[in-house]
Amino acid sequence: MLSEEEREILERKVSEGARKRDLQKELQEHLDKMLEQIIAEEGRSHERTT
Amino acid sequence: MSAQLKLENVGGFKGIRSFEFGRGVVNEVEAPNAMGKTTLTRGLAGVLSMPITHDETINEARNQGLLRESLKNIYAKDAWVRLQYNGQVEEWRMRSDGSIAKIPSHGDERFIWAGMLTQETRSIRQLVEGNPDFSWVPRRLSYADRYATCKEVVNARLSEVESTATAILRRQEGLAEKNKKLQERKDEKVKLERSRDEFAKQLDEKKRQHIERMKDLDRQLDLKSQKLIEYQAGIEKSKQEIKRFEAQLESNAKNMLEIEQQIQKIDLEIIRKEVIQNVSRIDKEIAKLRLQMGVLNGKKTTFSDAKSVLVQRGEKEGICPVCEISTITVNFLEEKVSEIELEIKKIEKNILVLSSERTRWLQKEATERQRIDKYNNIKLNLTNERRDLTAKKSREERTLKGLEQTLEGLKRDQITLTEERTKLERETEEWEKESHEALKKIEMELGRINKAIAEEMRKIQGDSFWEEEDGTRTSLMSAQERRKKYKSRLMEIREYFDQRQHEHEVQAIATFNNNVKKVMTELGFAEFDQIALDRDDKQLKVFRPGFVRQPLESLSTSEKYSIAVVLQITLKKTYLPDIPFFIVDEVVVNYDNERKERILDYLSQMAKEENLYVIVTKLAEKAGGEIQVKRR
Repeated sequence: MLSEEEREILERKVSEGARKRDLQKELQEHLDKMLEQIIAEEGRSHERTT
Repeated sequence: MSAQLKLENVGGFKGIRSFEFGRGVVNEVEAPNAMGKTTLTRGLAGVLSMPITHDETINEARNQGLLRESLKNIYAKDAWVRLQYNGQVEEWRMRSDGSIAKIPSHGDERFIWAGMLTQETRSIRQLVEGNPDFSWVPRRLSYADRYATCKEVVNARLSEVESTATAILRRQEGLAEKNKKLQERKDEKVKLERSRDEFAKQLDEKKRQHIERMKDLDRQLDLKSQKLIEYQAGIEKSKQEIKRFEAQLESNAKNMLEIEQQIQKIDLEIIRKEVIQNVSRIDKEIAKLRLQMGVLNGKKTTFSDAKSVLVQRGEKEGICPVCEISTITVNFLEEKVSEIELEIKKIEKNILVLSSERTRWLQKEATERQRIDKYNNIKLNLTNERRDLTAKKSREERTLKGLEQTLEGLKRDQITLTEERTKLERETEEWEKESHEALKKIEMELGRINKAIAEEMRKIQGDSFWEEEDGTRTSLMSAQERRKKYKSRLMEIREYFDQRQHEHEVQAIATFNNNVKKVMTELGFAEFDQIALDRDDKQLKVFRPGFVRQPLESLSTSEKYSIAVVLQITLKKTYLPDIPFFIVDEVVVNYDNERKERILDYLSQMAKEENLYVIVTKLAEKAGGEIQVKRR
């Protein structure tokens, strides 16, 4: 389940995307950042374990 | 406040056409048929709805003749629409080749669905067809659409992630396969190396055996050569011996010949005859001499007697007592006796000589016989010697023959050994060549395997890491783990969007239904108790008074158009409250005057209340003339 904070971020992205008339781009950027964040987190976790 | 609309080379228009619309009023665009009313409304709708991005909306725009290609005048170059209102300008321009030079930045594609009421409007089409599926209302017009779009993005991303995860999995499987292949290659290499080493070992052993065999053959050949030399020397010696024996035999034969010749020379008969003849002759001669000597002795006796007589007589000379005739002297008689004695002595000597000769003659045969015996002895000796020599020669010849046979055997052995050596050398050469080729092939195969191993390792090395979008490289497991996390997050987000979409749809349908009810009431359409979208199946349901459901296909045409008016006005009010335009294209022709007026009044009221530019096209009663825009 998404946290409240994550929901707020998503809602903000949706409304920003709607405002900018490029919802897809806005969300894609957000999802890209999310993947980058996962990669970075996983990288740090990997560094810690190694 | 008014809105300025300029159209250049749009639809049936060629050149620039300008129109002005009043705000807060209904603007009646009046013209005869084929004068450009629809072109005007399409140009206006285009500039208000572009850019259109969603596939379903593009399809809908096509149905309504609003695709930019269909807006361009086919005889002109560039097409251009410019709308100035509320202090803002929206422009749309298309080049002659169909490319877009300018596109409005603040258009709302939902205008295609909710900003217009034309013969091609979706709701009218569906009502005419009796199609109750109005799921597009919440889907395309409400905020639910945003979440649906978000879901599409998330789904697309999920699809990408799954695709990437599948690619990573494939890579992992491929890696396992490559590792398996690599191991197989390595095993193959080890096997081949073992095979090569074993082969090389066998080759060395074979070479060693070959060298041993060659040495053995060389030793045998040397031995044979030595023996050959020895036997040749033996043969030479034997030949010399034979020659020596032959020479001795020749000498022996010569001696034999000589002896035989000597023997042949001695003819005992002849000798015997000769001896007889000579003895006879000698005997005759002796006899003759003895006879002579007797005569002489007689004479001597006579003369001696005569002498003695004379002497006795003391006479020195006297008458011959014998003949008594002649006178003789003692001297004479003495002389005669002396002469006779001499004669006798001579004869005796001759007899002696003849006797001696006779003896010789008599001894000659014996001597010759002795010679023959001697020669025979020699001959016998020579014969013995010849037999001995012949035996020795024969023995030597046998020895020579034996030696020569042995030599021939040695030569044959030598030839056999040489042939065997040559054969062995040739076989070895061929075998070494074949072995070399085989080793070369193995080495080549090893080279190929090494290359394949290097290639596999390079591939494995390359495939062992996943290159992330940011260019960093990570292990496949880690990359897969990231995708799992990401997918999990995306699914949570999709679930959230799904929930939000549903909430908005429910809300949008509720709002829509309320607004439908309100508009219907305001328009005074009392023939229906309720027109509403079902919250669950999103079907449009029409109920007659008493909540009797009326299937859409059974509605009359005017009822369908009435419902369409209600729906489009509701859609505009519900979903496009911020766009100050509403277009109605000749819909009103299907109503009676009272209803027509009621609708137009309602639109006037709506325009006024909501400060809208309501544009209604109207067919001019008179033919000819230009488009006129009149404010109602």
